[in-house]
Amino acid sequence: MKLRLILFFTALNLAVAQNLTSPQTIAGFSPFVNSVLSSTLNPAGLTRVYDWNVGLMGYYTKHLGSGMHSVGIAKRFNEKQTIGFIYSPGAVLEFIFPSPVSINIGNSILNAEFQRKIVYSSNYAFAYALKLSNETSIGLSTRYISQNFFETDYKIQSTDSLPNINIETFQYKSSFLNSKISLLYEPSPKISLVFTFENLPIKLDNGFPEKFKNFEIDNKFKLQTSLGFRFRNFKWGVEISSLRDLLSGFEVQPIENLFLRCGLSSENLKVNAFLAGVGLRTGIFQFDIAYLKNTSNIWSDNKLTQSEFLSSHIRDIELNKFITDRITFSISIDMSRWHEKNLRIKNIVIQNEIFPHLIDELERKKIGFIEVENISNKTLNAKIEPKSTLIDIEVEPEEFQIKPYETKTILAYIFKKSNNPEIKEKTKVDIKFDIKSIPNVPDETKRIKISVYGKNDWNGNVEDLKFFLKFDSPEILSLTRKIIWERKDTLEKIDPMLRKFYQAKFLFDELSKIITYVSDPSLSIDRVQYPEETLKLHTGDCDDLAVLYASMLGSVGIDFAFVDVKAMRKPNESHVYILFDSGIDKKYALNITDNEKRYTIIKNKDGVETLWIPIETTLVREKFDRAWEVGAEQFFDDFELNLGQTKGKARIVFIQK
Amino acid sequence: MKQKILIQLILTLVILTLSISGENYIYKVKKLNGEALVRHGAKEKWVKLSYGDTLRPEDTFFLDKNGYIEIEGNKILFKSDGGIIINISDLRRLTKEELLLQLAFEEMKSVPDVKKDKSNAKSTGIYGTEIEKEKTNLKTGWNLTNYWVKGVSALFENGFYETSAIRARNLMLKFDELKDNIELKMIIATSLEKLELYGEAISELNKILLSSKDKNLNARVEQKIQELKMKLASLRGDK
Repeated sequence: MKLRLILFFTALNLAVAQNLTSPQTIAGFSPFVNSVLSSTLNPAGLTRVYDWNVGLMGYYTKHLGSGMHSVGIAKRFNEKQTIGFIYSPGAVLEFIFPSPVSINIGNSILNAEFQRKIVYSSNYAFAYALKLSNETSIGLSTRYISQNFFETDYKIQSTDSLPNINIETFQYKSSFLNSKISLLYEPSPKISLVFTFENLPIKLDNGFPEKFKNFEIDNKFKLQTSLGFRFRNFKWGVEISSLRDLLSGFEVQPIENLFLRCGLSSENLKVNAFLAGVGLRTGIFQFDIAYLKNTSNIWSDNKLTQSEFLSSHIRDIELNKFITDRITFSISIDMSRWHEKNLRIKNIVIQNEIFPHLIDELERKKIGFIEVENISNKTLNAKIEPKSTLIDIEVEPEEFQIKPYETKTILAYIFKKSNNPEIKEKTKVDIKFDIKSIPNVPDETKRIKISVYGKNDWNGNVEDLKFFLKFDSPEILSLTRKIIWERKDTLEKIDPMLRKFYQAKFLFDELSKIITYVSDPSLSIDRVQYPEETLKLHTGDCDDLAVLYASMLGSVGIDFAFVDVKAMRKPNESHVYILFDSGIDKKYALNITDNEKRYTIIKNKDGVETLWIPIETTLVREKFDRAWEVGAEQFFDDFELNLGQTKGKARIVFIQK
Repeated sequence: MKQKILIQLILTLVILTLSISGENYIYKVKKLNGEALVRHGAKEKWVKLSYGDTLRPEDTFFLDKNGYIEIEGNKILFKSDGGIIINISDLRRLTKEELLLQLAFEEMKSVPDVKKDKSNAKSTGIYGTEIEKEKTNLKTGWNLTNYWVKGVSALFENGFYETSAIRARNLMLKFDELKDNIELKMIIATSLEKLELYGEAISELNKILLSSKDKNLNARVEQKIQELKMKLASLRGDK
């Protein structure tokens, strides 16, 4: 008996529960992604999540009624990084193709009906975003995609009577991880640019058998470029991909907290979906509802044939031409964020190395600035709160008014408090800046790390040696007064004009009994001992000895200057020695020396031209006269012979007490 | 063996070359008549200077009124009659920029840029603030200032215009009795003129006019200023 098998594939499709990821977003809205539910569109947008973001989304379609589509949660766990996780029980796309079979047995026909079922699902997604700079972020999302193919097979065995038909159902499973990388660039608050690299799959198995490969999801690589513009209460986004997808949409905000959206999606320049939506924000909640109308011809006859299905490969479970008209609705909760982010820190420039001991007490020193931008459309009262450990940071002004879209530069200062702990070694310090437009909840927080140097570290600026001077320290006062007291009879006999000169001489000669010069250890950063430390250690290098002798001179009221010499004798050499005001009017110079090279004339703060005496403090062991002679020779070499001042290699740094 | 000799020869040549180039910074007394003294660096003592002695840039020499000296070295030959004191470091030429900056530095020393920093110290000096108000019995004046002035003239005559101007300004600052010395002021102005720094020369001459009450001198200076102004105009016209 000859059997004739006639197989009919009629199409009665039951496509189920697809979604445009989130009703918060309309087609073309990748640049504006700011929540966990929409993060699979553009994972880099997760960096806009302030702290916690939780979203729940449902759907309604005519065929399937309503159900839950997704639930997601995202957390920003530091300034730069945010992660998100989405569980989507409703992200399922199911196709059933009925397969009636007619078997001619003689004159009778046997009709049998089988089912071919294909189910695609994307139930789990993970997203991660990293802020590379103030303008640039990168994001990665990975979805777990599973594909199930159910096929009914039959075998007909001829017998003498009726043929024997065996029917068997097979199921084929396949799954893979599909990743997407997006790069978000925001050169200004008005423009956002997104580059998305889609369909980067990692196969977890071999897929369907060869004869059913056509039913697998098409993982063709896609590069998508999205551009978003913001103009006050209006947003517009457009996306175009390497596979000729074009999506565009806009959003208007007629009143505060109400958003109206509209957009369309096209493939090969044929519009296949139209979308409209409404959003409402109140407090930490945002409610969104969106309607999607499939405008492609795929459902024009309410039927989908298998050949139609196979001619249109599914590339995305969330958005494809088989989706049916539907309504999606969601609630999004931004925890710890009771208001729209109104301010952002555009830029922070803070010295990355700070020498806190080089700051006068009760005085503050500028260390940088913060640029704050008002990204809202209303004038705000803004506040910056700096916090740090070990050092005190202040900003000025701390509170200020900022107009819509205005950027203000706020200066940052370091402030020294006497109760701050002493920093002995170079330490990394965290500084946090909170900017707020309302109390308690910061609009943005930025953290930076800077190096704070120890109390003996010196930045090499000779002007800053003044911070190591201690004219009033008990050790210095006690030493200088003792020296002067022991020579009070001699000093009283000396002409008043010469007394300062001899005081300076006696101080140095006494120092020569207790202090020795040691050369500078080769350190990456110079260290300077406070004068009492040098007295205690009995040794010091040129900076230490200059600071000690200058402190002693200052403590007895003698004005002085540091002579700063750099790269004069050797390329990398720096040297400091002392020039002090003898108080001797220049017309009496002969009373201390015949050699005019042994002093320089400088008009002091009282307008008197007096003799200033150079002293090479490293020669502390050789007493005053020798230190003066060598100091004078060096001064002549540095300033006259080698024109150090002219060449910028030598200078006199006056220190006023 | 040959290699060793070659290396030794090269080393000897290098050392010889270096020592010859070092000689450029050493000056020799080529001719000397009369009594001459030298003071090395910042030392107090003068010692006798003789024919053939070497002098270094940090030295200062003194030549008695009736003397004559010739000094050679560093590609210069200096000749002068006696009655002079000269710093050996002044026997050199400078660029115009170096001259102007060094003159400015000398000016700056009379008005130091004292930083108005807040003080940590509250102490006053022992015997400190009132010293200036006490009377001094110290002697004043220098005996050798004329020698310095003549030395500056000698520098000028030998064509060391830059160092003669700088030294003149330095002497006027250092020695009270020379602060209004017309000869030094004229040397500064003339040196600047020789170097075609006419604007700066006019400025120096104007300083003389402001401080001088000598009508004859002022007339001469005014005439010189007019000459320089014409030169300046001509120079600008050329450009």
